[in-house]
Amino acid sequence: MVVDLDIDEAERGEYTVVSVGGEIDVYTAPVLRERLTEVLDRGVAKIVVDLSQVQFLDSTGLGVLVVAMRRVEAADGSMVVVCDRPHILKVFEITGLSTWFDIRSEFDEQ
Amino acid sequence: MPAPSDAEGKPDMIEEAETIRLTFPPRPEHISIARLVAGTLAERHGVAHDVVEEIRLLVSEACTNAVRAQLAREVAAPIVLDCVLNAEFRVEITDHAGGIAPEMVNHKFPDPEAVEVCGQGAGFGIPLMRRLADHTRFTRNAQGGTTVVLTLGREHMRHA
Repeated sequence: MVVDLDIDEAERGEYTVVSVGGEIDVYTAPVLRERLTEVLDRGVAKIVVDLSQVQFLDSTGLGVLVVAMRRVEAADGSMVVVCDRPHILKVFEITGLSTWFDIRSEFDEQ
Repeated sequence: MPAPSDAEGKPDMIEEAETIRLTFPPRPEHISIARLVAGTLAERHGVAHDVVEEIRLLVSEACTNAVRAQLAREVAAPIVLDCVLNAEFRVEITDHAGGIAPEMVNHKFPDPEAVEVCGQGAGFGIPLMRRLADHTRFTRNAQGGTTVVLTLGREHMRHA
């Protein structure tokens, strides 16, 4: 199966940074969901989902991020979404999720 | 060739509507092709980048619903995407499995604290389409499925 989604993982301070590249839709979203689930299953409570290299995100991708955010909240952790592409940010804004998520144009660990 | 723009940057009328039809099997991996077709048609006519992205998103949402519905009901018939470009941009997505029940059409955006993400998605797709498009129409078609018509009106069609 060829999946056009690149996912990398790195540690930055207290945060685990999951960087995603490609197009997130109903075909590729399961790959992201599995990766985030795997990271959260390890007990990671502070996570950054870096969407800087994501060219496309639809409601299926949003659903994956919502589920991850809920898990992080339930674990009393924190999740940062990094995104600076206007057309991706617009998806968060239209759906009313731009303030529900902690969205930043870049990640600067405190 | 991109459509020429007048001095105020408004698109000129394209004299005859240009229609592109794509039929594809109901498989998730083909939705990126549907986006590509619709987006490329708009790009080739010089539609502004942000509007092209809206078109790609609309097509993705409608095709996702169609593919999910047909997979859930094991209907193998192809899904049809028609893109019609003249002064406005219209996409029609026809499935064979009743992808969108009438009672779902007026759904509002779900509360993220309460959504249940299941096989049919989290419920953001339909309200997203209704917010992005100037006109949306969901109807039962002769194949027993749903036809979704999404239109971006002339005022929406800014050119690059």
